[in-house]
Amino acid sequence: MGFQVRLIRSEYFQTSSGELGMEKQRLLVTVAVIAIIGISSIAVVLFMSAPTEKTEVVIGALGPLTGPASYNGEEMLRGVRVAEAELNENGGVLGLPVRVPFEDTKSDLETAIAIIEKFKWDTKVDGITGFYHSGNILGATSKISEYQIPTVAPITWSDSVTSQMNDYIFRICPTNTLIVVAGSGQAAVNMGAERIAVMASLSDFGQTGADVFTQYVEDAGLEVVIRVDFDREAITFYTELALIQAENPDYLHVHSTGRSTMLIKKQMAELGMNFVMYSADGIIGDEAVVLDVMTEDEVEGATFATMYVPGTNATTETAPFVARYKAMYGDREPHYFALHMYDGVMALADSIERAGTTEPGAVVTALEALNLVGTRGRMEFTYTSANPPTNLTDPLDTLYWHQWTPPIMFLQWQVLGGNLTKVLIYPEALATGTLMETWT
Amino acid sequence: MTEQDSNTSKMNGEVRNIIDISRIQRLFNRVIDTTKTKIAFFTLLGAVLILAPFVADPYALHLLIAIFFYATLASSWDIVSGYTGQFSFAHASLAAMGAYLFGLIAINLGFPVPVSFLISIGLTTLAGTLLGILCLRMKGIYLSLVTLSFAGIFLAVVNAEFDLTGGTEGLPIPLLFGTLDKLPYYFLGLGILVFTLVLKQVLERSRWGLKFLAVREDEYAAEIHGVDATREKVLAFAISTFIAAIAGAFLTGYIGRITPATMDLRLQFRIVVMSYVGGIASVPGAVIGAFLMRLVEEYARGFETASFIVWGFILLGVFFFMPNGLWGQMKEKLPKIWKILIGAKSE
Amino acid sequence: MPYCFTFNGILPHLFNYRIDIIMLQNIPQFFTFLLNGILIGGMYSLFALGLAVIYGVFRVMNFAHGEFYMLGGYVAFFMWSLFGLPNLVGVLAAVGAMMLLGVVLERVFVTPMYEKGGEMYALIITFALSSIMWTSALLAFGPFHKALPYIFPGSVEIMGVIVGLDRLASFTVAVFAVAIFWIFIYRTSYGKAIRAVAHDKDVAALMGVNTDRIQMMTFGLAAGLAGAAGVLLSTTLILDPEIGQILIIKAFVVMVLGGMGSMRGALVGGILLGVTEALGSAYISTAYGNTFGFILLIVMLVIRPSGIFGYEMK
Repeated sequence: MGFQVRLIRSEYFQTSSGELGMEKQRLLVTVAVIAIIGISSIAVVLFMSAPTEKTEVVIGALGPLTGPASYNGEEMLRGVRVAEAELNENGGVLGLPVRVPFEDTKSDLETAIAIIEKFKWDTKVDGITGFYHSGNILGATSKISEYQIPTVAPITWSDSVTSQMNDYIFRICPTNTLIVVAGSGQAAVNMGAERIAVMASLSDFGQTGADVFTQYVEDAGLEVVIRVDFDREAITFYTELALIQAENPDYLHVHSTGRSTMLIKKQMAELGMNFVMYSADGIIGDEAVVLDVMTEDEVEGATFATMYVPGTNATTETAPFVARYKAMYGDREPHYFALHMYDGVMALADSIERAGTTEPGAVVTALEALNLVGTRGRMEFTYTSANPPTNLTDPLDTLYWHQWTPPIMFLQWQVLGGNLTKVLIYPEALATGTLMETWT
Repeated sequence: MTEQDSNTSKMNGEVRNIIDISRIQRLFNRVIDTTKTKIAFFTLLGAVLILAPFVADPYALHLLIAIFFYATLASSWDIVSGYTGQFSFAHASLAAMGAYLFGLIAINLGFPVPVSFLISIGLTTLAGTLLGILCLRMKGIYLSLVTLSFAGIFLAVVNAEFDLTGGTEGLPIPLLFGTLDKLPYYFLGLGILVFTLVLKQVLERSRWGLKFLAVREDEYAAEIHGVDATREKVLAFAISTFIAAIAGAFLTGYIGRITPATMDLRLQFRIVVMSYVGGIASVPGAVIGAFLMRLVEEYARGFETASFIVWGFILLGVFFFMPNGLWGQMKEKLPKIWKILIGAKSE
Repeated sequence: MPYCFTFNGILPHLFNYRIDIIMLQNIPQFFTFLLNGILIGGMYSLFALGLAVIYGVFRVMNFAHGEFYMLGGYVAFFMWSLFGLPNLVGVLAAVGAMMLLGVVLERVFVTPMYEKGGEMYALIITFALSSIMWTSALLAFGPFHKALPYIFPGSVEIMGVIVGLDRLASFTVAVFAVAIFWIFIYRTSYGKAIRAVAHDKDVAALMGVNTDRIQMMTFGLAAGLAGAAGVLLSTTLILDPEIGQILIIKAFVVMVLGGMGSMRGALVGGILLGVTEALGSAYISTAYGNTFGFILLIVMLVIRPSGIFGYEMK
């Protein structure tokens, strides 16, 4: 068999000179001509694209539109579109129209880097906002520094995004550590939970959050009776919940996102586990989403941290944003990721306007002096180059570099008088009720 | 002119008036295989590739470096799956393994970067060979599923052992050349790709290549003819893992970080698709496929959420109209174009 | 300082170091894990059954099978949310819709590609179809999660063994669905033809079986089964456009455990996977819960490469 193949091959190797001389020459000439035309046209295109006058301000946005976090990517995209429409309606930035292209990272680092390169060289952006996966922004940090692109990260939660003290990266959301220190640990302590169970997904968000939470409550003298880590793609939690139930806890702290948070609460209800389930992911507070998954009885008792509660107005900007969002999309209340992204675009636009130019150094200086009312509160950064952190060895101190943390609220779903209502339990100043520890 | 040649031309003379595709095909093959044409083509290609990084902007350069990575990885997959017909799902994970070992050795053991690069490739090749040996008794679909399981287990370990691997946040990897400048990475990536293609060409022309193909076509028949199918498969797996590991360590050494989502099952499918679009069991197929599909992905991203629909339909289109992939189609159709080019009269 | 590679340092999350759990001190708990493993495994079986039949007839790993599951779930969800129809009607609607979709996809894409390029081509085509289907679902239904209402909410506790009522009900319905399918395959002439084609297509064609129609019917039936699984599982699990891609991997594991293309194998393999995952999570490690199926698969293939039942479809 091998023999045959070789026989056929030997035919290929024959070189004949006389008969095909003309054709060969023609081929060579054709190939050469095509190559010369190709190379010269590439060169011409590259050299002709000389810098032209600025006709628009471009803010690049990126996030996961497909892949496991697509439900957040969709909201991010909507937030960006609302901000873009509003900026252009109000006359743009620096008198120029604003464009906010949104690129899909597909959760893939190589794609994220390609997007940064595209933003820098092709789209020619004046600032970047977005990212979702901490791994992607951490992988792109060196590129951002090299290209000096002012970046506002409105959603990445990993501590090291800001604690590595990059000059160009700003953050306007809580971090894995801060959300515990600023509240969820405190909430557990205030409630006086005695036997705490912790569930954490295998992600940087879940693991760091659960570690810091455990540390925090143990420092306060509470007991963590069981810690269960689970795969993000886990779809059934019966085993995990049965393990937890055997420990008889009175408080379950879940550090996870999206699908698994919902599944845990749903299956808790199925198993009749009627104690507080706290989730660090605010999606469980979204009526439109949660009532598609659970009945009112099943939702009851779910406690969650969020930065936006539909129907409440944190600042004067919140109501106009929600009105615009509903006018553009109309189907439901915005989720807080939309507010995050909106604020990210607005912070960049405001800084460029104040800097009076799109030159990166000036924009960064303007960003450091940011003092803007966003949809979740007044945004300003704790530590900047003018006011650097005093203790560089303290991780909690460097965490506040270029960091603004929006006010975090804790709410609980309670059935009051037959109606499912969201009760604000923290901060106390705004509280509309108290935490319900158990129910029937 | 040898005797055989003159015989051939005599035969050609007898059928001169019949315009017959297979003859033009032969003609074409003869011309394309002549040394001068080859030298001209490769010189030109080489010149373009060497000059490209000096004229292209960094965005295009990044895409080219990424394409080198995808093409290398797809080629390595092609060695084991295209030639021997063993559909592997493990190649993205093997590349990830090379990358993670590279980072872990360089950071935790403090070895110099090139040394860690080589050690990680060696270790991954060993692991890939062991995987190949594990699959010794398995054929076809079973091997696919063992490799799928390997990929699943590897990703689970990476996600779960975050103390070591950084979990989803990713592991920082030392830059291969200690610089963000793309030029050295471009030439290293190009070198790796050329090395892979030469290796594939040598394999294809050698008796191993024939044995691999024999195993793909009919394992039993091959064994009857004295081909040790198991040994050939393990050998193919080892060579292929070696290249996959180089590719993985190279890409992460260029980016400076690896996250598990970068080299999961989706990457596996992307390289499979690249290989098929280009044409499997061929040397240039994977390169053509990688080039085309990476650009399609870059273009389709503009469709936001719908990008996968666009991607899927392009894939379906390519498969429907070119079932042998672009390279297979080109080999079939180019003679016709060639005929038009030189004018049918000279036949 | 160099990192010390101790065993604990390498894989600290491999074991739940809970000695009282490992010692099986809590026997009812063990049966809770076991029972729920069986119940969820039954669902895996129902889902993988269609995959096994497709493999038997086409020799193709159908990557779009998870999308039939997902779309079936959405059909029932919209029947419920728009018209208030109960799940049992939803099951029928989902089965009908998915059979139709399956037949169309088989006619237009799978068989033409299979005839053009063989199994591997058809595999890639099913993957491309899967991408198109889940992205379309993402565009049409939005990225947010949905679930069907429970038929029987709550759970019962008998002698310390806790079991969700709805899982029990879904399991029962699944058993009925499998039984009907079984009767169809083993007691009707169409079933006989399917088995004949699975056994040897060419001989079946010579014997006067219209293989084209049989292939179409097989694909439709398998898609319908996946749709039914989508409805039954979506009461306890969650429905979203990308859920199919998680389940398809599990279904492949099930199929191999039982033996490729074996229908009995798919049933046993599903329950084996469910139990392994439940017990593995409980007694070894929750963090590695999804990996036990893979480990079992590798062990199984090394010990017995043809699966529990080997290849058979008689």
